[in-house]
Amino acid sequence: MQRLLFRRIPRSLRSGLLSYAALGLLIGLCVFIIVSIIAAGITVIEGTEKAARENAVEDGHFSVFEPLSQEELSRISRQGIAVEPQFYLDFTLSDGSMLRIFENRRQTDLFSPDTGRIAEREGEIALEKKYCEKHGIQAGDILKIGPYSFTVCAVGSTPDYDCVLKELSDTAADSMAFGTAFVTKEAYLQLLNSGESTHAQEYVYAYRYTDRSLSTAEKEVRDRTLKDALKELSCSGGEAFLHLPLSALLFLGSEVPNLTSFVPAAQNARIMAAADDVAINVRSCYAAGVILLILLSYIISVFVIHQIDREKQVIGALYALGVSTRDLLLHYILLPVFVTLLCGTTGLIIGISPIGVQTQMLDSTGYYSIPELPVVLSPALVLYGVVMPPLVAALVNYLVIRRKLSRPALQMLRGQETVEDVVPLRIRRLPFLRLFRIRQLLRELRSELAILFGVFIALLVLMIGLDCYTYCESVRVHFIEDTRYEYMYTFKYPLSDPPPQSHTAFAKTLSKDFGTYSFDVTVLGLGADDPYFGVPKLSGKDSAVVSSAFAIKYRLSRGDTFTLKDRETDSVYSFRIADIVRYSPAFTVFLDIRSAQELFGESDDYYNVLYADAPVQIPANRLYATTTRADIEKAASVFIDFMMPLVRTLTLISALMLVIVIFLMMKVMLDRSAYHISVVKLFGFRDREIRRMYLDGNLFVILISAAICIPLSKQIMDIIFPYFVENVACGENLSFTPAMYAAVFALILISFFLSEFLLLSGIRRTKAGDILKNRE
Amino acid sequence: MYLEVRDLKKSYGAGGVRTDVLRGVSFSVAQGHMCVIQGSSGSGKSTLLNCIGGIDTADAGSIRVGDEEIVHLSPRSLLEYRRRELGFVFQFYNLIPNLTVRENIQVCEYLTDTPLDMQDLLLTLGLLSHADKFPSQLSGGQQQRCAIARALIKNPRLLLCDEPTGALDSATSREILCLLEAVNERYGTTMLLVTHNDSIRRMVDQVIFLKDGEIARDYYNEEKIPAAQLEDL
Repeated sequence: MQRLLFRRIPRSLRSGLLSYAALGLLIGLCVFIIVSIIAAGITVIEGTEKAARENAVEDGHFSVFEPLSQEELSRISRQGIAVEPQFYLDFTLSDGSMLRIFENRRQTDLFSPDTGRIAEREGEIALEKKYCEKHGIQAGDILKIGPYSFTVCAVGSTPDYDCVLKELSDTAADSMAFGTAFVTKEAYLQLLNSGESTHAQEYVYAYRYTDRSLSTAEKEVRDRTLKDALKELSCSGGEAFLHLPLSALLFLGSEVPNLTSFVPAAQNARIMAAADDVAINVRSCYAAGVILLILLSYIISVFVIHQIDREKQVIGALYALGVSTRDLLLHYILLPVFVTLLCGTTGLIIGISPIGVQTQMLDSTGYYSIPELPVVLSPALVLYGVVMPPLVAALVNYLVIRRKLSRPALQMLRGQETVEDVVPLRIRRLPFLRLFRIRQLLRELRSELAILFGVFIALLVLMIGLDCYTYCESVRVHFIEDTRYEYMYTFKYPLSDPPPQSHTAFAKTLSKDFGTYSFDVTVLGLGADDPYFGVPKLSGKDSAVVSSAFAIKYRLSRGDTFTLKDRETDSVYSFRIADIVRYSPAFTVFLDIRSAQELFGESDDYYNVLYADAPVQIPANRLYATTTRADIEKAASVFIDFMMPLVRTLTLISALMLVIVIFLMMKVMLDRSAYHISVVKLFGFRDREIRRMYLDGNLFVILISAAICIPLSKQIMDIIFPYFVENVACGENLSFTPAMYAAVFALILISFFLSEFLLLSGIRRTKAGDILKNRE
Repeated sequence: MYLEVRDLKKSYGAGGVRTDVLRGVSFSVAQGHMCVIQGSSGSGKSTLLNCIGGIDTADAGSIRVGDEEIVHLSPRSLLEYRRRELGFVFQFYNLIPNLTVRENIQVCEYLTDTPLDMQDLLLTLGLLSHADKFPSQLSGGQQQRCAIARALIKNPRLLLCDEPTGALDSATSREILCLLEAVNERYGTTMLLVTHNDSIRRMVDQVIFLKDGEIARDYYNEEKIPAAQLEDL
């Protein structure tokens, strides 16, 4: 019997090819999305962790005014800490980009070449890969830095510049503008002596605990101990003292602390940034995977229930003829299980192929400087893609067929609907068409719920993309609009007399935690005549005006109180928000300059930032950094340029999901009514009228779905999205413009009308005579 | 004559496996008459009904309904013909399960600008108390009455009934036939009934026997008796 029944399977597949194709496409698409994103995330996390281990990533680094003495270094080493100097020089190249030059590393943060080998001769240089990609540089090319030419001997990455941020407080990496490079000791000395670096040599030391079994908590304790010890070190004098303003010297006496910054790896936005970035993707995708699985299960259920419903007369006949329940179950389970298995497996294979994982990893590999990573596939994904869809299909089939077989065989033979199948709602005094549509909607509630659910899931995917777009576009627009100065100079050693036509300010970098991250927040003391920030008149140390970026990121509003921490001294400062001004490029707390100076113990003539509309001649060795409006304009579009492919992909996927879910469920409804459509055709109903009776009613479902799902999915995504960008030092409003809402609504309507258009051919194909054939 | 069929031919298949289902069938039915078509399985009676109903096309010959020749009409014109002229009653009722009795009748009411009075029809067919019930809440006879009401609401000139009592017991069959008789008398509807039931031919005006696609007998019933007096249904 089973063999005989088996012959029906290919025939059933052929007759329902369109429905099975749509269902298969939906399953494949869902599995593909989940598998590719999670596999990419796991690959990045596990791959970068492995690379960080192999390349001896630092446990932290610190910078000092002047180099540590041998004795000081030995004292640290005796504590089981390997310290390696990672001094650097920044050079501006002829194309305006900046290269940070390091000496070859030997112990910590080792260079991992993708191609070539590390610099071994004076004229050789190893370059960071993202900079090379953006500038089209390959191994063997010649690069001119200062007065010297170098041959590129390697292209690769280092684990301490996973995210190639110029400054730790930078919002985004811009590899067009900045990269890192590694040369021999001799070449480094030549460059140092050339005097052409944009600022003085930075004295940075990377440290790494020799005991690799330390836990995170133990490392934190040891970090604190090391930091306290370093804070005790003071400058011996020399260069540092020479450049300090007189007032600072008077204030500090001879005890100028040598430590300028201390950054444990956990607080370093450059380290493990790619893994941090995708960790939230993986977590949210596991959650999304469960939601999609529920959607898939529901849609498979509706589909299977409908298929069995259509077959109830055959089931009744076979059952009445004595075919066993087991044989029937096996027969009806085979096709949906085969289709779901095939499509789930296909989705999995494409998901882990270069089309899936490698494409998803572009988000990481296109932005972060990480080594080439082999794809890691977790068993959970195989379970998800290959086992779950057929299991759901089999289970639903089993339950539905069991339920069907519990009915009297005669009822199934006659193909009658039972009283329970009908929603007994009394409807009076409605025009026929409207009444018919309501009845049809009530009859197809299950499919309509699937549409609503499907629209919701598709919109969630779309909202990720649109929130991402809104966020990046706001960054681009607001960064440019809110930067009103042309030049910002950050001083290591300020000039005693600020140049005319410039505005001085005092900046102090503090920090504030956000989830597992800690961000730099600049307390900026502004003069009363400041023309650049539009901050209302300020007074007092406790009452501050904050930038919109800061307020949005930390969900603060006027009147709220917040605290900031000084990482160097562990002091905590508390402020109350007097006002919020729109300023997107940085997390900034504005005070009047005198209050800021007093708060941080600086004299009333001290400043360390200078804003100007025209370039100011300042000796390079006095500067930490120079930031121009042009730099910010370039950096502003980094996010949107980088994220647009993802936005497009998500929009396409969600549009596909919308069309498939709406089409599939409407097809199920239409198929369920095929017999009655042939009846009404026989009575003389025109195709146009039949469309109005059987399809147009779904427009109400679509409108209701849109009315519920657009605001709901937006609300949910607005809550979730900040966690996706938890590691980004930006705060932007995620509000959509009315045009964006209209576009989302239009996308839903287009999906509906497209599905309706595709299904109309089915109505046209249904013949009035089908009903009589059925009788025969 | 209201319905005139002339030399109607229809075959299925192609080449060597061609089956002639109708081989030059000719007959006519006067307006307001009840006509039964009988024959064994495969005799061509269903094909004949389909061709008259405009849901199958004849290969040759002519079908004239009223003043209209329908054999070579386009699908669109055939649809308009069905909409305007015909009513259908099926063996298994084919009511729309999620519509009440009243709503099922409304389906066909929608097709005409001059429907019969719904309340009057419900009363005539004994459905007034069942008007708000769904098909699954009705007996077979009640469902068939509903199907007849649905067919009649647009006041068709020709009612095609395909085994209207085929799924009913004897008493209910009699009830349905009485109803069709009453409708025929009251509205003057021409009726064409395809049936296996021999007793029915005693209550109609005209009887046609089909055999192997040809008319074996076509006669007018001289001794027509009321449906209520039929035996062996």
